[in-house]
Amino acid sequence: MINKVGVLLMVLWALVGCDPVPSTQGFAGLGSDATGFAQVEPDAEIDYPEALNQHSDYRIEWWYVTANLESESGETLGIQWTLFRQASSPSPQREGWANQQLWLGHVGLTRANQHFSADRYARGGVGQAGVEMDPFTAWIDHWSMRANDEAATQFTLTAQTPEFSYDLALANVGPSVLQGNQGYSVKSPQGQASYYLSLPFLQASGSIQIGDEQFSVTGDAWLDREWSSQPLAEDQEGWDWFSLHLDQGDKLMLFRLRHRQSQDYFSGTYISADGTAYPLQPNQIRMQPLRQHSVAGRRLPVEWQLTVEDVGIDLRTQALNPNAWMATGIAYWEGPIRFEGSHSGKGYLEMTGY
Amino acid sequence: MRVRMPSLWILHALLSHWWRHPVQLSTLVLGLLAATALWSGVQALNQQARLSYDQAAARFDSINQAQIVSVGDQPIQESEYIRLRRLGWIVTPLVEGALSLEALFKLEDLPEKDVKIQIVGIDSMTLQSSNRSDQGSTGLPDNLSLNDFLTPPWQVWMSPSTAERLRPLLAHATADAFPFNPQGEKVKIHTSTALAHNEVMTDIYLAQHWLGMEGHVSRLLLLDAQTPSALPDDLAAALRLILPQSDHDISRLTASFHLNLTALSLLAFLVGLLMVYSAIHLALTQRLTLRRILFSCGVSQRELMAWLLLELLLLSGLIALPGLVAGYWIATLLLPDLSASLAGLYGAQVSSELQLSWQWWQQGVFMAWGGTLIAAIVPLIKLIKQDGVHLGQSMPSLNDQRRLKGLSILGLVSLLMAVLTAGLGQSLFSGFLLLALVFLSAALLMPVILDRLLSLCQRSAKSMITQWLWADARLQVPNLSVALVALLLALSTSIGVGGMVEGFRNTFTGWLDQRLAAEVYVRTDSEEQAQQVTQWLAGTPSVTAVLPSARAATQLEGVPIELRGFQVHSTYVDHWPLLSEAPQVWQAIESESAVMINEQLARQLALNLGDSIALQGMQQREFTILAIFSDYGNPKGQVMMSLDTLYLNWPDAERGSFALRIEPSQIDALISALKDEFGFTGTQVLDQQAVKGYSLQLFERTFAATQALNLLVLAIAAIALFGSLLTLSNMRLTQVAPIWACGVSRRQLLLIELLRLLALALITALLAIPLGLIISYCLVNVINVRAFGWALPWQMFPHQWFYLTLSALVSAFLAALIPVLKLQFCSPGELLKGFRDDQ
Repeated sequence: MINKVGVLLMVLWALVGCDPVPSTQGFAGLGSDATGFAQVEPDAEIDYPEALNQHSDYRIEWWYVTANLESESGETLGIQWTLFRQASSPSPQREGWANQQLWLGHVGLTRANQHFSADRYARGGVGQAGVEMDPFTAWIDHWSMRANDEAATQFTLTAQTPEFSYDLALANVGPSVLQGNQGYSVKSPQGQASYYLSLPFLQASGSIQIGDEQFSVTGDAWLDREWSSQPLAEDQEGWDWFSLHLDQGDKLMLFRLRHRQSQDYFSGTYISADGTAYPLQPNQIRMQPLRQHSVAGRRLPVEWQLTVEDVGIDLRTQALNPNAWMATGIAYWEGPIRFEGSHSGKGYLEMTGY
Repeated sequence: MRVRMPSLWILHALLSHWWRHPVQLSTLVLGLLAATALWSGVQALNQQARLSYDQAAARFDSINQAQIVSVGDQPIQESEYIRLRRLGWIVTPLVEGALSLEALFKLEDLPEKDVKIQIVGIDSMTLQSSNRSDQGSTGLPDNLSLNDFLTPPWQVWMSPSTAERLRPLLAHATADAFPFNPQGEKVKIHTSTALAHNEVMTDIYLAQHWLGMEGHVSRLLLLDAQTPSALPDDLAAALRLILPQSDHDISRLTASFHLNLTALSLLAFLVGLLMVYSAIHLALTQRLTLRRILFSCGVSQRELMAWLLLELLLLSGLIALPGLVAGYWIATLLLPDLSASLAGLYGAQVSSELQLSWQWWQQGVFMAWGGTLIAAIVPLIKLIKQDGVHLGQSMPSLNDQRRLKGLSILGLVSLLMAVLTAGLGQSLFSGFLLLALVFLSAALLMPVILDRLLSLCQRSAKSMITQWLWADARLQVPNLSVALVALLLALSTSIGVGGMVEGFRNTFTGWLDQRLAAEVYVRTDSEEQAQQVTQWLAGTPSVTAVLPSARAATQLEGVPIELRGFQVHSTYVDHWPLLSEAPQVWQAIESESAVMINEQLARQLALNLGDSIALQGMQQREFTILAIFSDYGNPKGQVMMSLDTLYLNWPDAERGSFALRIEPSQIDALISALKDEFGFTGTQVLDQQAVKGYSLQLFERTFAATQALNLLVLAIAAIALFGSLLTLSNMRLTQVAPIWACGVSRRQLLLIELLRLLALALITALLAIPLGLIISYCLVNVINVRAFGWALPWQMFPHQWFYLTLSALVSAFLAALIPVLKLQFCSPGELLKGFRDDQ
């Protein structure tokens, strides 16, 4: 009997050299041409919980959960749970192993002095990863997010890696929020856009294990749902993304898309505690990097000055752990932050393309 | 200031020597050519084998890869794989299967239709989640696009040699078979040297399609270092987790195989270098006059040295290239045998096509340069030190005596070291060191012994002529010793290796007869089939005995062990090859917890009769060893026990193998009936003759390379002797001329000349016999034990010695023929010139 492991591992090495998504255009290929896929149009009706379902006609989408947590002893922690879907070719969907959907899972855990990340790869068609409805379930291997009811008001979020695991209950205590123009979120002056819905009012509770340490945690969580076929412009090389829980109960989402050749593109939404969304125009937003930090051989801004004068926002943010580098196949910075200034609170920052 | 002439003329002057002495030049060319060719040829073989190992690193089953396999006959269900993934197991599926060319292409009447192509289907997505950091380099192109690998029409990857083999068939390919995907599109074929010979790698989707394994996978590889300890309950019945074992044997075995070859090629290199040495030595001595002229032309000693070195490097570089080509050719000739024996012995797949790196060429040239420089050191130092009244002198000088004394001291030191190595060394390396020291001692002591023997002859000689004959032979020893040492080494290697191979063949044939005592061997697919076969055989009157056996695997002190259960029967009692046994061993095995172990295990763990062993996973407390049997060719330790004992301790042992006793005349009928009844394929039913035939064929192929190299070494030694005699022949005239002038007839002179050379060759051959025996002893009782774990009886084959002695005499005769004929046909004037030219 002969074992082909050697060959396979060599092949693996070669494969690891390439990203699971073609990355020639924009960050992680998000700016690639989307011919043959469904296109994002304004004035589409986006309903919840249907928005949680997968949209296979679109090239790419993600389910993105971050949570700012605190343990019983008062330690601050943050977790991330993300499922990406990318289609290598448009519909019709092929059956079994021939299926064109590729799935990618990322999980992260951050505390002040530690940061862990892990990723999982899968292809569609065989049940290793996917999204189902009634009730909503999204999974890759044994990492999953499932709704306990068909209305998707309660979720269970789990992930296990050799270093850490978490098992959280998420209760949606507020409305779902459509970002941009009724869920049509423009990403560049050329009009690239995605459908974008958030659940910013998730209350999290549950347990985290890091090695032998066990934590009981509670806190605020945020789900982003986004799907598109070409969310980025070709010359956009990355973004800086904030989701902020203001202590008074309001929420704020801000992002900056960095262009190689032209001016950066800004967008955001101010969400009052009752769930009313106030879309922000690019010229209303100022995002100023303050302190740079070296991590994984790159320099990234881990402190920011965020200003939206029209809604009285002037914040200075600070990373809980400046080394929150996601050392995954597609690598980026993602970690919990605190902020002070006109308001105080906590949130999550994601920085890609550095 | 002195006007310097352009220095190239020095090189020209030096080189002109070779044009005037073509025989010397050809000795140099032949020696270096042979040395480079044999060395680089064997290195090419080793490199090819190593490349194949690397391509399929850890190909040997369950060695360093944790994996999950199916317990039953059915492959693993895809749903079972998904279930494991969703439980967090980091496993990746493999779909594997071998298809004959006929089945692969669904075409009939193909040439080589039985050639099997191994299809390997992978899921590149789950392969990615394994550890990234420790992967080695790959021959696959960096631009392999995962997207294209996963997107219609998909891709297949294969080695260039496989692509070459399949290319003519692709033209006839039909759309319902390889290389078309289920949608009828032609799949893109890519080549990469990272893939093994006759192996096709593709996406799991296509592999399932071509192998007809939709919904199933062959096995699952565990990619995570932190392996879960046990399978979940609901899957434990269907699947089996195989954890990595620390199996150091296989790599050691193949390593020792290559070490053997390398040692032999080094010897060949050495013999070739001896030729080079004698050619360079002679050439430098003969150019003493030229040296004087060059000095008087203003060439400094240092300058001359530099030019001599340049000359040698130039020559050896030029000769190395055809040498490498010849080496490549030798490797091409030997590779099929080598790959067959490696596949048979260790299951290692070695491509039968040579792929050589540029380092191989580079190394070959450097070896040639290095060898030439080493061979030239002593002559060059001599050239600097002395004024050149050395080589042609007519009486054994004080210098020669001093040299012989020095050699014998060195030889004795080397002999002492050999004795120490034999006494203290335990490793395989020390075994080879011992061999090297034995050779070195023999080479160093040979001129001394020859000198002593000849002086003995000289003293006992009655007539003046015979006294002169021996004295003159003694005089020639310093000049011929290098060639004679080459002959000695080659002859003794032949005797040693030949004796080892012949002894092994005898032992192996006898062992096969004992071990394969039953007439027919059957291996069933499943427990169910085993029961059906048992029932069927019970109703077959020609079968006189059905002897079931079972196997399992475990560990003893961390060493992987094979377990074999058998039913005690006269077939085993009468035939099983026991090396040592306690009284009543068979009864004890049948009734108690007594076991037999193979020689490998006994040696590896220093186990003896009466010792107790506790095997991992056993239910009983311990087993007692009551017999040790020989088990040639098996890399692993083996423990044999009764079937009942095996089942009692390892209930999940793999059953379903049978040895059948049957009237010899009924064998063919039974085999075809079994095949018809149960659909058994090629290796599931074996008749004893076929197994023996295969084993012996394997044996012959294993030693084919060794014997071929051995013959080549002998040929080189003969050429060395020939070259030395030829270069000396001119000088001989000056030494023979006085005797001729004294009135000895030319005919008599010729006879004496021939007799002397034959005597030298005979003495060398006679000295080679004891040396060969020592080498053979080292091989069977030292190297073999340390490399393979078993010893062989040390046997002697006088007929081999006789033929070798004869061949030495014939080659000496042939080598002497031209110089002697030259003497016969030279004019008296030329003989008289001897007086004029003599030093």
